[in-house]
Amino acid sequence: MSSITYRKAGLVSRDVLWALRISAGWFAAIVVVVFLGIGVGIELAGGLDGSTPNSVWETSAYATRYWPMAMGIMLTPFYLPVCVASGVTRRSFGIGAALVVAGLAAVMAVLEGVGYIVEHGLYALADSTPQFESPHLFDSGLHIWVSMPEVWITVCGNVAAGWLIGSVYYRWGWLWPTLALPLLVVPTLAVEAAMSVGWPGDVMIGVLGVDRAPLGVAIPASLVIIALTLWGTHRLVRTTAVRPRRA
Amino acid sequence: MTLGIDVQGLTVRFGDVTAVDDLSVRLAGGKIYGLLGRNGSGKTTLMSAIAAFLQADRGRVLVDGEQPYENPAVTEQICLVRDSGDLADQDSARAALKRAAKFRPNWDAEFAERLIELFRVPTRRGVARMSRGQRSALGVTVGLASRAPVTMLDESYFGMDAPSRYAFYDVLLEDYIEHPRTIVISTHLIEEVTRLFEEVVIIDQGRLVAHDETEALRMRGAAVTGAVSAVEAFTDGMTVLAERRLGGTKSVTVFGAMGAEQRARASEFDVELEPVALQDLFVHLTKEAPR
Repeated sequence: MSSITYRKAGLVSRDVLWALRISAGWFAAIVVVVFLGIGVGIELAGGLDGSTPNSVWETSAYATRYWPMAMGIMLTPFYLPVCVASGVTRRSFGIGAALVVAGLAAVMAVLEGVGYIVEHGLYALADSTPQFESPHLFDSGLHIWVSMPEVWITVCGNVAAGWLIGSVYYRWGWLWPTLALPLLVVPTLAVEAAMSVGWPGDVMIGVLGVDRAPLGVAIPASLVIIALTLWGTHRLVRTTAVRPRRA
Repeated sequence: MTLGIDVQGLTVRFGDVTAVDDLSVRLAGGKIYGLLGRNGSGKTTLMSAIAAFLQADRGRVLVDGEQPYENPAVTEQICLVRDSGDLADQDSARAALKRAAKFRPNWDAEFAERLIELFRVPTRRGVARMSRGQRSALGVTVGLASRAPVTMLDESYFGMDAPSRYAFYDVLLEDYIEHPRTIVISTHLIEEVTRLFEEVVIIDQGRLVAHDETEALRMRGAAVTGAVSAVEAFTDGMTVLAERRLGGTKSVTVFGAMGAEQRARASEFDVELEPVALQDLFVHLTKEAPR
């Protein structure tokens, strides 16, 4: 691969992330206000007398997965034509898109990680500790060195699956991709199941009775699933024609 | 820098539809080409294959001797502006220009500013909220200011109003003279842009119908003007493409090259011969096989 390929890939990733900055900022602000401001506020105002308080911030994880996933879905339909029309190869676009997946996940990991710490602090003011309903790799919101990587891997799985879904729809239209949708979401479920986190983790541990694999196995397995998803989508995009534009 | 284009036996299919059918054409670098064809004739598909927007099912496209598909050194030298441009809807014109500046190695920011002003493109308005004419103007601005050695405009100025279109023709020619490159223009507004074309390529149903220098192509027919009776007598038995009559004067467009013998005969009949209008010729060459 030529240096132009990597230089253009870097430009693509920065261009897309820069374009998403405003909507990402609004999204983060809304999540913070809704879950930390209103959610935790109501929980604390309701009094924590004696009962075991659940983490409100934990439920924000669904928002911080599905919004980036939606962005992933839009990557190919929105940016592939723009990139190809700008003289960028699909290979560069694919590498750039993979960097966007990692970048978006990093932003969500920082948001979530910091949120857990803030929530922990707020609960501490009421002499309490938030409890998690879903299984995680971390026991406390203060364990940022674990919470951030967990969120990063989970969101990576979601955005990668989103990119795959968007690319498949862009290439084949609505019918076959819709029928194949259950298969297309497998990567995101597999990533969480491999780490036994989130609701797939609940199913693995609670329903199927499968113990969590050692982290030395679970995390590389999740990363391999993400890498395969990105590689497969990249391969798909490289042979995808840019659609005629509607007037 | 000017790059030549060599299309060899190109076939592109969309399901059951063959958009381009075993088409071969060679375009020397550093000229302005008119690409003419009816709706659905395969113009956009041909240009899309040259610009690596899609892959050929058969045959190949070479730009400066190399295949453009997934070839970064070649694709950054090609700029295809389709219709109103492939612009991100959420972008403002300013953002679209910034993106082009990042990706286009020969980008001329000053020229882009001049064009934006010339075409009165609102720089802060989002692309999605622009009129078709404004989007066209923005697409044309990106296409010209990219100064790509291969620049293709696929009906991209179609939505612009007449003053903007005429300004576009002038500025295109002016910039082409200062920065020679290979320019391919696909259009239905044939009469408006004929003066720009050095060569014309006509395709129909995905196949090459004609490729020649504009003047040579126009000499394939003739506009015969003179007194009604003289014109009718002279053109008797010829393939008539169009007729116009004003009082005692008649002008008939006929198909077929006028050799020395015919010119001598025209003098005898006292009628004038002029090259045929490109649009009349185009209509004739593409009407044989109606869709």
